[in-house]
Amino acid sequence: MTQALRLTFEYDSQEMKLKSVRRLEMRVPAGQSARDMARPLAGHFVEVRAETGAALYRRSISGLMPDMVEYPTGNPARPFGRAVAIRKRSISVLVPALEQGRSVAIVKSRGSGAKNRSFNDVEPDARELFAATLADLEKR
Amino acid sequence: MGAADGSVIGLTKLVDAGLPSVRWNLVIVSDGYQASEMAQFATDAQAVVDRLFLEPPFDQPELACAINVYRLDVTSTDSGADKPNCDDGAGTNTFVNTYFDATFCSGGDTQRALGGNNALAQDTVEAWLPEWHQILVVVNDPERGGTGGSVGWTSNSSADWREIFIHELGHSAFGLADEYDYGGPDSFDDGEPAEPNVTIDSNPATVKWSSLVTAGPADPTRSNPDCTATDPGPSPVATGIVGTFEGAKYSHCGAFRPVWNCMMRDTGAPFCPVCTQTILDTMAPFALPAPSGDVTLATSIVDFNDVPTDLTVVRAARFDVDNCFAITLQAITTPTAPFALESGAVTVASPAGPTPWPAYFWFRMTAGAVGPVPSQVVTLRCLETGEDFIVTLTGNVVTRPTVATQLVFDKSGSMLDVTDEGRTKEQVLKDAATVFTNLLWDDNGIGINAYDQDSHPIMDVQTAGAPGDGLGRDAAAAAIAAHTSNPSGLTAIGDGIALAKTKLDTAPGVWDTKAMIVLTDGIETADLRVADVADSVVNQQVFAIGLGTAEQIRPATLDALTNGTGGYLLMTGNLSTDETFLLEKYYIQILAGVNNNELVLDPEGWARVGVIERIPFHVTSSDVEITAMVLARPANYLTMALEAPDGSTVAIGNPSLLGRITPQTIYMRAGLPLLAGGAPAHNGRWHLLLTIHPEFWRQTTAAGNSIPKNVGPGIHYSASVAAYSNLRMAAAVHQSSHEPGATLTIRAILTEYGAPFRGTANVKADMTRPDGTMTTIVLFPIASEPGVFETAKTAAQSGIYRFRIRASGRTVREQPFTREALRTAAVWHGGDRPGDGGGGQPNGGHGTGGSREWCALLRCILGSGVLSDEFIKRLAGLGIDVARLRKCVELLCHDTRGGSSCAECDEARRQLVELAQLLR
Repeated sequence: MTQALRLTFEYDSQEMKLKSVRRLEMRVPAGQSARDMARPLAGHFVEVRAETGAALYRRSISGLMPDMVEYPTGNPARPFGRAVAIRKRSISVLVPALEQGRSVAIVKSRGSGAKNRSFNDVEPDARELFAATLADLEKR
Repeated sequence: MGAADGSVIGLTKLVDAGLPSVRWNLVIVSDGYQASEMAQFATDAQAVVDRLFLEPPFDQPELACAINVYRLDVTSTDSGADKPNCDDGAGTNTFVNTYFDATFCSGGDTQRALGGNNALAQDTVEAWLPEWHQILVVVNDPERGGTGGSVGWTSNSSADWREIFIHELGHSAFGLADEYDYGGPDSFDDGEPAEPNVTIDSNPATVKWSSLVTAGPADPTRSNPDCTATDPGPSPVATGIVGTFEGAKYSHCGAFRPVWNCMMRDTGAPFCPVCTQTILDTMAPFALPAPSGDVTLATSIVDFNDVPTDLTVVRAARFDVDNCFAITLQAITTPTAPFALESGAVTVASPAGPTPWPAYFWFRMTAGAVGPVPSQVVTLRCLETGEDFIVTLTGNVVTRPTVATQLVFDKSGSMLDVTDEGRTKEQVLKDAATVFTNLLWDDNGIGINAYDQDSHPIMDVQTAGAPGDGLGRDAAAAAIAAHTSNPSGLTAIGDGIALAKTKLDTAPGVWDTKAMIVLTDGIETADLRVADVADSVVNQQVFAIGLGTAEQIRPATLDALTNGTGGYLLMTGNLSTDETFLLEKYYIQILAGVNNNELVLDPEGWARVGVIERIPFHVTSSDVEITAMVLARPANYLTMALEAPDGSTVAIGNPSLLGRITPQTIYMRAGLPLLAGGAPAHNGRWHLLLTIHPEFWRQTTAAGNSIPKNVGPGIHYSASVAAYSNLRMAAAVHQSSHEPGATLTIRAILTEYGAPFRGTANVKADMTRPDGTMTTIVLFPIASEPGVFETAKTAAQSGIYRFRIRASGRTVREQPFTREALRTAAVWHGGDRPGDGGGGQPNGGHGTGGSREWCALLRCILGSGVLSDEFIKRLAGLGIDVARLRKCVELLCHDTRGGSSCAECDEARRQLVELAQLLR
């Protein structure tokens, strides 16, 4: 049976504070392909890392962590608007409890953009918002 | 405010795709619904479900089967949501008490940003369903509002609130970006986005969705001409074409989207191919069968029971799959001889229809020595679930089932009549019986007896053996050649059946199947009758052939008798000149049937000098032996060969097969696979090759060694291919009565390895009506009975209906096949009258106006030697033809319709009156 960890954070766009960890028997959404994992992409990601620090599992969670939230305007010409998100909010992230996994990290990556340039040329500018060993997480 | 402002009622599973531990779980939660409004929430939640599963790709089985949907009923003290005064000037500064504190203007600056207490929503759901993946809170408020995120919020009243939820699901569950181009800077100024559906790479050849690009190489596919506004279009390409379109992720320029329009840009559009692929990829772990229940082994023992020696048969372990996903089964261990794997791994897709559905993993056994085969254990693994299954292979080898057949000949006087086809009926019978004898398997048994008004033993059952070895085949051929009819013989079919039964019962040797083939050309005119012996025929198959018309034979009781034994009745009707081989075909079909062979095809044609006829036929891996046979007069002037699917040819004389040539038949019989051209040949498209032997032409022309091509009609032949096979067709024609107007039900049942046929098949029947007109009718599959095909027709005309029932299709392993069978039905006026095998009168009488006794007296006088030869000569001198009188008696005593008005019958009556006067 597939094992997973549900990590629940309090997030205020500056820092992530781990509130709880729960081990579950459940399947988690597929992560990025190996090809995508090798690409420097901008956004928020959750990673399960091996002893070496290499990512074993990586999934974009940008949709869970925007500073702006989307709302329906009712205007057919511009059906969506964007508003400031509630400052402090609860975020729940699922990761697989991989046998070779040693740590979990939430990463914010921001490339330096340039119009009409291949994304392969973009240098990543990554920052860890959260990192912990699985052993530490299991103790919580 | 908060949890004190209501209560959690409970969790309801709206869509059940399996255990929550193996599926993706959406939980729809209520807020702002008072207890009295929970019915509305149930309606709203169901509306979300209905809309979601209409939206591609969620309408596809692999996704629909991967998603559970739950409804968590939570009541609130008040109805609706908070509406504080908002920075954008909206809001009424009204507040209500709801469980999850739903509020408009949740971020403080925009009224329509409807949100609430995410943490409480997550904690509440987690207490009921720890395996949740996505939460949607539906707020009972008439004002438009909502927000996305790990918990989605929406009010329940706007026209498009369900579509907005699906759009938000694209963000939170699948990591998709917004593709609209307003709300941000005019030009996108960030790095390559993480989301799979937006990019800063304008080149279709290098963009991250390049594998899905269907537009041309233009870079970009569409550039926005004005970076201060949304591109007004129109799109340079058709709807749905994938390329690079400028304007996405809140900016008019600098960011590109895959299509002109998509659900992530406008909720009126479907998800584009890139978003669709992302959804499918993300959900892939949930679209797999689950261990411990989804895949179960239904047959842990695969029993190769009673496999005849030297045959290779294939049987399967069956798995029941209780979901709609494909599974792959792989052998972890490999059996040793005599067992083998058909293939090391097999992937089986879910068929349309209900679950559980069957998946088969095939094994093969080649039968060696007679006796039990030591069992073996094989481990099979389902790659999707990781489960291992133990399958035990068992088997035993037996000698091939032996078959004894008793031929029963009619030797009544009418067998000397000449048919329209030109031969006497007796000669037609002898030719057909000779062909039957030629084609016997060497281990078959053959016996013969005949009947007129009495029974006549001819030869007891003997093993056929090879031609020339002096056993049953040779004896039968000699007996058939010597057979003669009795010019004054009557017709007591029951006598023939009774003797055949005795001969089969007492046949020396061990016979697994016993069958008799009863031929008759006329109505019963003497005891014993069929009805007299029908009850005594048990454990023997009875086949009957009626050589004549329905009115001449009236075979109602014979039909009933054959059906009750597993045999059937075939009727020829009046043989015409183009039906030279009809009786032979009937005998061949019966011979094939009793030997568990299936007719693969049965065409006729003309062999010509210098031209090779190529007759194609399909062989499947379910077939274990084939017999290709050709009937012709003369057959021994033909030469034939088989062409294997790879083009290799094998001819008579090849040690891998049995080939025999007689004046009536030429045939080849081979077990499969057949070694052809040094390689084993089995399933595929074979050809029967046929031509006139050059020597024949040299003997029959004055042209010496010169062989002209394409001249003359050549030699008329009938070719048949039969297969000893695990793919079988049982064909039957059932009739509701024997009177015109009867309903004829034509039925074919296909089986493979003894189980209902699971491949694809079309079944048709070429129906020839009594007046000679033909039509092709379709047999329709019966939905509730796999492998069963059926249709019904009304027999409006009196006479014989012939059916050539043809099945074609593909086996479960996608191999083409054909099967054929001939069947007949007969109706005639008076067909349902009781007391007579051919109708007749209730008292069993057989006369038109006289009594049964009168008919019996006439038969006695004319048929049992009362009249001396001298007296017959005196009668002839008086102008009375006694032979003709005998026929008249037959006619009169069996015309049950009374008051026959035919000229022939009137003449017969006149002569009978004269005879009666003379006798006085």
